[in-house]
Amino acid sequence: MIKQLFKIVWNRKRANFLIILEVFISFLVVFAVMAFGVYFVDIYTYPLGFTYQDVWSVRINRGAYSSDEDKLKQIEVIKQLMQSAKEFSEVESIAGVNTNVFDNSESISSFDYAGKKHEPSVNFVTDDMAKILDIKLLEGRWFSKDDDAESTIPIIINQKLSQELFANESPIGKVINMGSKEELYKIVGLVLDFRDDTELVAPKSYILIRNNINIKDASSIRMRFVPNFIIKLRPGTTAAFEEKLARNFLSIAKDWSFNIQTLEDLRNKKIKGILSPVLAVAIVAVFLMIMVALGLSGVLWQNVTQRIKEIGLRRANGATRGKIYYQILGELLVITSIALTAGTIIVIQFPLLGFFDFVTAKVYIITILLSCGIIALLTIICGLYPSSLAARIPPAEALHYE
Amino acid sequence: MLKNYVKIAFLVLKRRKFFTFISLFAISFTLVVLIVVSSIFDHVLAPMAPEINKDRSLTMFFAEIKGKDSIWNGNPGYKLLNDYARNLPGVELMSIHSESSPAISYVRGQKIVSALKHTDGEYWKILQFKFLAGSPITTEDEKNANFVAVINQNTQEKFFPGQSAVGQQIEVDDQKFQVVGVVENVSQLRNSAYADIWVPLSTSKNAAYKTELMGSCIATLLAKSRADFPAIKAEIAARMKTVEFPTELKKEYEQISCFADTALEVLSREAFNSVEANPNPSRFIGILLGLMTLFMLLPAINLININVSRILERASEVGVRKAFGASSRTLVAQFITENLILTSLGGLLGFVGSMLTLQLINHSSIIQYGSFQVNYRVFFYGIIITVFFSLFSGVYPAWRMSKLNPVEALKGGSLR
Repeated sequence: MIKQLFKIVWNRKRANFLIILEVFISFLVVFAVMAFGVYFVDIYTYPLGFTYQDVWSVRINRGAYSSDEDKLKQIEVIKQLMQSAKEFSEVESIAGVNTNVFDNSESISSFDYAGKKHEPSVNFVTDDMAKILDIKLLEGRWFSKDDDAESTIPIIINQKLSQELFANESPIGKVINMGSKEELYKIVGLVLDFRDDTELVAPKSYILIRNNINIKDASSIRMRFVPNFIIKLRPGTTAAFEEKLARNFLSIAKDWSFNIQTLEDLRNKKIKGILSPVLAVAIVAVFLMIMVALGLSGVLWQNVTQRIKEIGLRRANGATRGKIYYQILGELLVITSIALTAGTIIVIQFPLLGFFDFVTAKVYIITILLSCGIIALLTIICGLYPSSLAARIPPAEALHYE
Repeated sequence: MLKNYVKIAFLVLKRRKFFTFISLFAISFTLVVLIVVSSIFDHVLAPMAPEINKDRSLTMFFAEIKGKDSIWNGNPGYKLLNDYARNLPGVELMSIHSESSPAISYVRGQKIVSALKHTDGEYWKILQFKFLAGSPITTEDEKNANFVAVINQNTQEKFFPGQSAVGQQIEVDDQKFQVVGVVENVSQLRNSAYADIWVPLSTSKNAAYKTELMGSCIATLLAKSRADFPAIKAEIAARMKTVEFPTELKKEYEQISCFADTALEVLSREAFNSVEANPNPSRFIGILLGLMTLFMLLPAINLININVSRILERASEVGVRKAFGASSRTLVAQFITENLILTSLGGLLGFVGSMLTLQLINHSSIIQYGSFQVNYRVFFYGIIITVFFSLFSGVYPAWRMSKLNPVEALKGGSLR
């Protein structure tokens, strides 16, 4: 039966070739869109690593500094600002971070460890950050005031980086040297993750470095020690408090400016920024598929009217309506499977060529299966009407059709 | 003869309405996507108010300083542009202004975030904004650090609903400015021109910007003509070698580069993250055209499929024509003309669809103050795309038609 179907398809190879080509390219289009869809759904399911409810971000624009005294002065102002914020009853706590959560900027450190290069994201944070964002530790401890006395700088890393650096060993207590600066960093804690780029960006390796804003030695102060803020508010604090807080900041630091936003807004904005282009492409792809579906049903219909004589003959020789119906659908399935096989073979090459290398094997296989399913469903739907049309051809009429 | 082809084409279109519908849907949809894309590129690149001289302007927005271990790239600072990019040969006017950055105001308990841009006086001579009221910031304003501001229409409505803003005070980031002018909204995609509020550079909250080699500034150079571009670029490159580093930077960095780019070069520098003097705009255009062709592939094959099916329907007609001596070439020409008529109809629908889609994009605030439109340039691109698509999808079916065996065809034969 199947051999027979292949034979029929082969006999009309020239007409079928174009249909196969069309289904093949449709598969590639669906695959490309689905790959992003499945990828985003997949990474969305991993834990964020913190909570952002009732947390505000304050982005500070403070201008460059030209001297060491200037830096110390800026840190003094930062301390004053943090102290003044704590005095509001609405504020639960405030912490300094170098890169704001859900911000578009990031800072990356590149260093060698055990002969391999690593490029984790880094953030300089003060002690209260864990409390504000409710970050759960897997192992070790969070930063504390006692760390001021340490000669090494305490850091907390996420599990991904821990895997990269130490495989399955516990990272706690290990000391790493990051780059040319002769500073040693001691790992004191391990977190599951800290995805400050929202759930739609794949988890990356991450280092949280303790920012000691009580530092006195001006020469070791770098830009990153002068942080932006995150603030945890008591539940029920309204947006009206924002103006009060901003005016308070401005009265302390007259030549700085402050951009206060809720983490919720920042997250929504960022997610919109990531999804909008994907959505635009997906809409175009849907229209393309509607177009293909219409075109395909037209062509199949035309093919059936062309083969009235042949089908009539088969009916006269005793083929039932059902048999004709399934023959036409079967042919279509053969065509589809040829196209999908070719498509899958091509698509499997992509990761080898470096495309879609951000996608894991699991996501890749799910994408291929889903795309095959969608295309198969699409072609079958296109074939239903032409098949039933073919099945309804009365043999007598068909035989003297000219 | 052409008249005959047109007549036949319309007859064929009328014969099988379902096929005609499918073809027109496919063609017009494809063209809508491509025309919308070209319109967006036109919107970013073409000279239009306020940047009416964009075709002879150069933008310095990217600088990089490099040392043995460190690289720092970003916008150039005021000092670099002020000390090394003034009085270039062939440059008529030169302006230094900042990137627009968010600025916060609280008005009647409402928070308003505006895009704030710091400019000099020349900025308003190079860019021809359409003033609804008042006048621009002048060179004197900049020199004397006058707290004056030009705002756009949208800002006027937000801060002073129902009133004229000129002469009123506006508070931004805790600084008070007197509004001197109101201009029409400018699209977010016009990077040099876009802002909600413009104020003099010298009113910046701290004066540190004046000493920065790297910072957040842009220079716009208005050349006398495009022919001066190479000389200007060469002069800038030569001057960059003479830049003196302040002691703070000397420790880590040795050399600096900063380039003057045309609109297209700006786009390709951003697309490729290029740090070279030549950001390779021709490669950018090439990739763009390649992607457009790739996008056309599926619709074209779809249309080829439909066209081939329709030829079969007309086998007997082709047979008769052949039997009476029509050459293959005549038949190919006829079919290509027919396809051209079909795609032109689709193109017409495509233009209507594009205008509707662009209206939709303009009204949704995806791009702030975006005003995409089908102007004469986009119309021209659209026609080129339509003809290209027509040939792309018409040549193969035409060739198949001309190859029909007249005897078989007369019997209404089939294509193998």
